[in-house]
Amino acid sequence: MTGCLVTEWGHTGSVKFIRAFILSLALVVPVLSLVLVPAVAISACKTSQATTDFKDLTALQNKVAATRTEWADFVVAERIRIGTIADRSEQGAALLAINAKEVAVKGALESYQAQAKADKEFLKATGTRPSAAPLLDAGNAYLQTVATFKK
Amino acid sequence: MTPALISTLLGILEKYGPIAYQAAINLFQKPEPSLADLNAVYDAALLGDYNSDITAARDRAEAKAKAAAAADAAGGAP
Repeated sequence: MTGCLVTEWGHTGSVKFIRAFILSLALVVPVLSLVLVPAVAISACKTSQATTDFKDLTALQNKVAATRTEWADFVVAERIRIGTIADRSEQGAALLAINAKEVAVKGALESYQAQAKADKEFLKATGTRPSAAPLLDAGNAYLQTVATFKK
Repeated sequence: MTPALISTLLGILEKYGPIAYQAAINLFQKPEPSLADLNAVYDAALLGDYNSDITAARDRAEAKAKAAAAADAAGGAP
């Protein structure tokens, strides 16, 4: 049978089939690669806007949570310090200053939380993701306010 | 036979190429975070408020002062 294949090369049905199969592979594989390789590369590298927004919001929330603790500790320590100031007028001035700072920081935190509440309600009502920009702006404004007043 | 095979293969590619491309994209694309995950971020942001933060800080300061006083008393005891 092998001898038959060798001497009758190109004429037997099985050899023709094998040639056609190899030729098909030689054509299909590179062409499919041209389609599939870019698709795989694009999908592996591409990050959707929703994923980016979620990462940014999570990072921001972690920073806000840490900052809330730091600011609260700072305020308590500052009030304890003010309580030890002997000079009454100096103490009064220091108290006014810390009160004003607290009002600003509290306002910024309330804005951030109000935006988070609005976004949560939007998500619940529509089932779609709201834009992350307003919450990111409110969170960054809070962080900036604390950074300004913690000096 | 070869030109017919080539044209058949090209026809298949033309018909199924875009479908294969989109299927590969869908298969390998990183999954997006779920709406529940996003909701959890909002819930975390809404935990507590300014006043509860200050109360917690006062409690921490008080606990720290008590611990320091206890350490002093223990250190000062003969």
